[in-house]
Amino acid sequence: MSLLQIENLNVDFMTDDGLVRAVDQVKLSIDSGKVVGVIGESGSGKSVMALAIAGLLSPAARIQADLFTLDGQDLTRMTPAERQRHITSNISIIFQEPTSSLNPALTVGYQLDETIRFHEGGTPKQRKERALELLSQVGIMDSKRRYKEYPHQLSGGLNQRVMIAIALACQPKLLIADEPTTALDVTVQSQILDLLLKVKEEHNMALMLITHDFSILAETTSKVHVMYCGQIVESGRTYNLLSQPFHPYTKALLDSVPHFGMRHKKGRRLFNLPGTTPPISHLPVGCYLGPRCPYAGKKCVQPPELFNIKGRRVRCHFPLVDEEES
Amino acid sequence: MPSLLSAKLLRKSYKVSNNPFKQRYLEVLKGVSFTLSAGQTLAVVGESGSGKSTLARILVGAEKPDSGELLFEDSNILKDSAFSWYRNIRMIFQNPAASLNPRATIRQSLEEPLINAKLGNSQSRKDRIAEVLDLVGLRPEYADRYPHTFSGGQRQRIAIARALMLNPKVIVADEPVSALDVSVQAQIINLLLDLQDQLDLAYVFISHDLGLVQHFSDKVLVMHNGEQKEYGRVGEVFSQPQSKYTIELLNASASYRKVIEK
Repeated sequence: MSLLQIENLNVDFMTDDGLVRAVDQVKLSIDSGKVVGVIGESGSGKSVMALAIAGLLSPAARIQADLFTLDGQDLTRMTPAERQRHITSNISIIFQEPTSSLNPALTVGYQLDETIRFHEGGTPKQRKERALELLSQVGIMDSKRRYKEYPHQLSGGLNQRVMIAIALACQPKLLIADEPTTALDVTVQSQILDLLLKVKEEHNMALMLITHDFSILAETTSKVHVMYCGQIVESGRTYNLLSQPFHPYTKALLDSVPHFGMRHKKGRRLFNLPGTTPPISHLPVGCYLGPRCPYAGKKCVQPPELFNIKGRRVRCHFPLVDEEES
Repeated sequence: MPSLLSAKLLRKSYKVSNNPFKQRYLEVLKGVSFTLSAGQTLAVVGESGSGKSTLARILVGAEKPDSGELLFEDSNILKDSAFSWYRNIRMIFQNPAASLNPRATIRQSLEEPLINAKLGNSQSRKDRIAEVLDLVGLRPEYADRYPHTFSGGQRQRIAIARALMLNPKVIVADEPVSALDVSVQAQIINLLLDLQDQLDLAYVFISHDLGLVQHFSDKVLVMHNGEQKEYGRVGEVFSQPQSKYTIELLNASASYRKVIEK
C-alpha cells in the first residue's frame, strides 16, 4: 500500500485566455521511506502539482482526481476542512528560497514554536525543548543562540535548515522539497541534500524532490517523473531512465547539459531542442512536444497515451526503444 | 598568442564602517591576475561572496581597483583616461528581464550605445540593428517590440545583441544562462560559441556550473573569499587540482553521469 497514490490529477485555472490546464492527468505513487524525483523546466507544472498535493493552491484552482489517497484515507471523499487537517498533519513542504519563505520580522524560534503549538501543543517549556531538539536534528550547532535570531542573521543554508526543522515539526509522513537547493551554493547544496536524506531515514518519511537538475536526481532518488506542459511524459527507475531515456524530451534534456567530468573538448555545440516550451494557454494540437521534436511523425497530431514499456511509462508514439530488444 | 586583456594583482576593498576612529575594510579581491587572448574564454568560478562580481565590475570599468594593473592591448587602461571602456569591453547579465528597460522598445535599447558613441546617422544605425539582430538569431522585425513580449532565451539574445552593437573585443558574461531553462541554456551557449568563432571575441565567463565551464572555456580562475585559489587551463585544473578548495568544489558538483557509471 503506497503512502500517497494519485491517479488522473488535473488542476485548472480560469484565466483571461479561458480555462487553462496546469496539471494534466498526473499519475504517481510514493511509498514510505522512498525518494521520488520530479524534473521539468519552468512552466512544466511541477510546482503547481506539488502545491495541489500539499493542499496549498488558492480556491481559484480547480483540482480533480480520480484517486487521491494519503496514508490509506481517500481524500476525495472528505470535506474540505477534514482534507486540510489530514494533509497538514501528514505532508510538509519546503521551497526554493528559504530566506523569503521565513517571516523576516519574527525570530526563528517564534516561527518554529508556532508550528509546534499548532500540531503538538504543550507548555511553553516543553515546546521550547522540542524546538531546540528539532534545530539540533537539522544540524544547527548553537541552537540556543539561533533560536533567538532573525532570518536575516542566518545564511541561506542555515535558513533552509530552519525550514526543514519547521517542516519536521508536524512529523510528516511525506516531505515535498520544491527545488530546495537551487538558490544555494554548490558546497552548501550537497550538505542540504545529505541532511534531507538523513532526516528521511530517521523519520521513515517519503521524500518528493522537485528539481531541474539531473545530477541531484541521480544522487538521491530511486524513481523519477519527467514533466512537460503539465503532463508526466516519462517515469521510471532513476538509473534506467538516465542511462537510456525512452522519451525524446527526456533525451533532449539530458543531451543539452554538458557533463562535468567528461573529456574536455571546447567548442562542441550542445544539443538543443528548437524553440521554447509553449505557454500552457496555447498548447499545440496532439503531442505537446510535437513541433519541437526531432522524431515527430504523422501520428503525433493525436495526443499520445501513457504507454507501458519495459516497466516504464512513456507518453510518446515513437519511444526511443530498440525494436529488436522489445 | 598575444594577450588582449590581462590583469596583474588586482586588489579591492570596501569600507564597512563609517566611524572615523574605527575604520574597517573588507577585502573583496586579494590579488587577482590572469591573461586572456582574442578568441579565448576565461571562466571565473566561486561561491557567492567570492568576489566574482566585483572582478566583473572592475573589468568593465564600473569600479576602480585599489591597486594592480589592467592591461588591454598592452596599455594600462586604469591610467588611460582616453580609453573608452564601453567600446571595447561589454557586459551581459544574469537576468535579461531585469537588464532591459521594460519601457523601451528593442530598437531604443539597441540604438542607445550607438547614440552614446556618436556613431552613424539614423539610417546606418537602423542597418546596424538589423545586422546585429540577425547575428544573434532574431528577426529584424522584432526591433519594434517591447521586452515583455519575448521569452527568457530571446531576451538574453537581445542583451547579447546590445553588448555587440559597438563591436567590442571582450564580453564579460556574469552567469549568462543560469536564469534560463536547460534546453534554452544550450541554445544560448551555442550562440555564444558561434559568435566567438565569427567575431574572435574574448569572453570572461562567470559561472558556478562546472560542467558548463568545462565545455565552454579555455582557462579557469577559481576564487574563494576574494583569493585566487587556482588559475590555469581548464583541462589541467580539473584533472589535477592543486588547491584544497578546488578539490572540494569539484567533488561537490558531481555529474549524474558519474553516479550512473559507478
